[in-house]
Amino acid sequence: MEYRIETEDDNTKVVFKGDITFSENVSFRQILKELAESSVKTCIFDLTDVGMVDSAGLGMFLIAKEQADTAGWKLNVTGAQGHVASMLKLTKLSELLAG
Amino acid sequence: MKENLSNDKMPVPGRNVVLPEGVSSAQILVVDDMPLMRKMIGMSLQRGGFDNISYADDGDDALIKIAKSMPDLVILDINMPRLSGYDVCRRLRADPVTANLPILVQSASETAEERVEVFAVGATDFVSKPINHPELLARVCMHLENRFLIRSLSDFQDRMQSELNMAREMQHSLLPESEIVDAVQLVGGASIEAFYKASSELGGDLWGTWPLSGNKIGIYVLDVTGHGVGAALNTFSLHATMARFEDKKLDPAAFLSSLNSALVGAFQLGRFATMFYGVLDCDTHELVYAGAGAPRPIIFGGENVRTLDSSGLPVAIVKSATYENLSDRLEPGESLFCYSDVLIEAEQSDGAILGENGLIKWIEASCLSGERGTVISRLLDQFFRTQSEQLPDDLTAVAIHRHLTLDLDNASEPETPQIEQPATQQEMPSVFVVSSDESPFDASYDDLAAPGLAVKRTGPITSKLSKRAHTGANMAVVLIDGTLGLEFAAEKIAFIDQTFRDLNGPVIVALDGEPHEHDPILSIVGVRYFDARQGIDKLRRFLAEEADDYVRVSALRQALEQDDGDQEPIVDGVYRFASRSEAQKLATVFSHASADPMPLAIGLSELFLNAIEHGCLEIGHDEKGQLIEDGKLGDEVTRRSNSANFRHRYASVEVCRGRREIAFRIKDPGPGFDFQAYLVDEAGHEKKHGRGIVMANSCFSSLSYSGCGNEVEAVFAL
Repeated sequence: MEYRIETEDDNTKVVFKGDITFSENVSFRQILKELAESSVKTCIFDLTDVGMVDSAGLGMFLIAKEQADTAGWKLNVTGAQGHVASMLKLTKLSELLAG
Repeated sequence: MKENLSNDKMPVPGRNVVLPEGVSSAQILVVDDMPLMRKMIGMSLQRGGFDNISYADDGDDALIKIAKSMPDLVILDINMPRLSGYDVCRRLRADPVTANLPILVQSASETAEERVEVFAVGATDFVSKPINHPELLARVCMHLENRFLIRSLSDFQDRMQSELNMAREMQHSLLPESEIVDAVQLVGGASIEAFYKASSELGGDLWGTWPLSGNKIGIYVLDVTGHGVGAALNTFSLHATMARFEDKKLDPAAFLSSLNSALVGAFQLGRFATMFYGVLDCDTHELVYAGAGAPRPIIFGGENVRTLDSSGLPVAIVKSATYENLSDRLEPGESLFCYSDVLIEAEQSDGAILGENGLIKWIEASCLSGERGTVISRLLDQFFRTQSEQLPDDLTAVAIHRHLTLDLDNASEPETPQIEQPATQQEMPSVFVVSSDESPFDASYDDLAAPGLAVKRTGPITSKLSKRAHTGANMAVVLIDGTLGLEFAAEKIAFIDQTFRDLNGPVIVALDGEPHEHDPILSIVGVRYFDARQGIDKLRRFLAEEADDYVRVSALRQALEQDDGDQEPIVDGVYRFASRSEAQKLATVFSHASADPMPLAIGLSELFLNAIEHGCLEIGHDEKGQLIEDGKLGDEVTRRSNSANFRHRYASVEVCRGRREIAFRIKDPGPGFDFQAYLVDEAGHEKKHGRGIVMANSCFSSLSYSGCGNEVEAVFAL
């Protein structure tokens, strides 16, 4: 997994690329740390270029969602395609993570 | 003097603290052939705080003492008579028990070569003589500390390993016990195929099943996120929680909701469980189920392969999650397959993932290539072949295969089987036609009926065949219309399970043209094809002959089953046979020469019957086909056998048994036939009578005709 953080005013966008699986645990936590240290108001996780997400990956999104709710910013997961979209649909997490 | 010395403790260089308990009580063996040296080293060690010291006079003595009581460290002199220090080192290192024992070598030699030699034979360290006592103590302390550290680390590792093993055993004990699985199989009229493999030492997957009141069964699969100890603990907690909701087990949605409410907050943030739970009513075949984001279960084996909607919020994420009961059917003859996501998500050796569609394709192919009851194990074999390395996650795969037989006892089944025949009509072969009214040939199949062949139409529904399989009237040929495409035919064949194929005659696929060499369904054992463009009359003949073959082979099989090979050994000689029944008997008797008698019985019976029918009775090949079709072969054989022309005729077989093979030379008094045409013509195996030769050919290691075709020698390799 690779990621890029784009910031414009209070709006942040994290663009992911590759697979988000159990082994991405560490870099994902790094993203959350960076988000916690910035003054983010809304954040978009862009999954357009993500090919695969496993249940541990979904769990990381839930952790991000929890952090957003606690710190008072909004998280929106967008752009999921193919396998990722069907995983989000199967687990109905698309509703929970869509803002 | 000695006491003075021992009370006067010598400080160990670089150490201000007292030696750790384990180190100071360490047992040290001092090996030296000189008493003075032993004494000096001993005193030095005592002053350093060591008091568990033993001594050996030479190498042999050292080995004996070590064998008796294992020291923690050996201080070894290198120059000793008889067994040298080098030899002692080598022997100790060669024994696994002492391979890691610290050996401190002391020697007066100072050459570089000798030092290298000391380490080469396995010494741990080296001190030179004359002994510098503080240095000796420092080295002894260092090696002992290392030893104790390593020992406690490896003790720790052993303990962790044994605890992990215990946890893994506990986790496996969560899987359903075989008694429970047996009970479910009995209630469900089903066999269960289950596979479970944790990716690392401990996993987060689980499946289970249980019988429920009202002739129902429940089955679940679940996958807790992550793996290792954390996931395993969550799995334990989920399993324990399930037991609290016995009263909800008949209602899948309520069961999942209860689990969810109980577990929200019990799992760490970001951890959850995807799950599927279904309840099958074994009387009505209704399957009620609810999903919590598990991969979509697949139902196969019936008219179509379909997935179940298992979408839903995973358990233990939000308190407010609700679940919905959906319903489908799991008929006898169908299978429900549940699996964990790694099966469709694991990277295959080509880098791609299988995906749900890929999995369905595999299942369809696996259904065609063998019995439904082993679909999953064959599918997993294929899966593991494409896996280059260890799976990234736990794998669970569970299928419940419902047997076809259950319907028989079920009087309330509304569908009346129209094709059941009383067992008294066994002798009349029947052809079961599976077709669709969209087929251009559909209407003409009604014309297949002949005196020797009954026609039963089943429409496009293959399920009716299943009932037929268990009525005992097992004299059936199945004709499947493949003119609309092989997909239709493949779907139907997939439904005809192995049990049916074993009990009945061949499955024939009518094609609108020649088959392609690689059409997979045509490679299934027992499936043959017919080019429907040849017309209905040819088809009628073809089916009649197939049915006749089948009846004959069934009779052979029965005969073989009845005599258990308790036969006299075959004596070389010439045997005569004058009727079809004698031919059949002789074939079964001779077939016991082979450990697997059936193929030899079929091959010999083919040749013997040819000798009677074509030789003794001079029934032509075409003539025979027509007689079979008209159901008059038996009558005609009787008529000719009693006629003046043929009454005294007989065929003979000369048997000659060697050590590795057995030769049969069959002669008949008939006019013979143009055997060259069958042996040369490549398409011969598609022709009915040529096929008989090929059938015999595939059983014998050689088959050669001679004379005018009325003599054949068949050699069977033992």
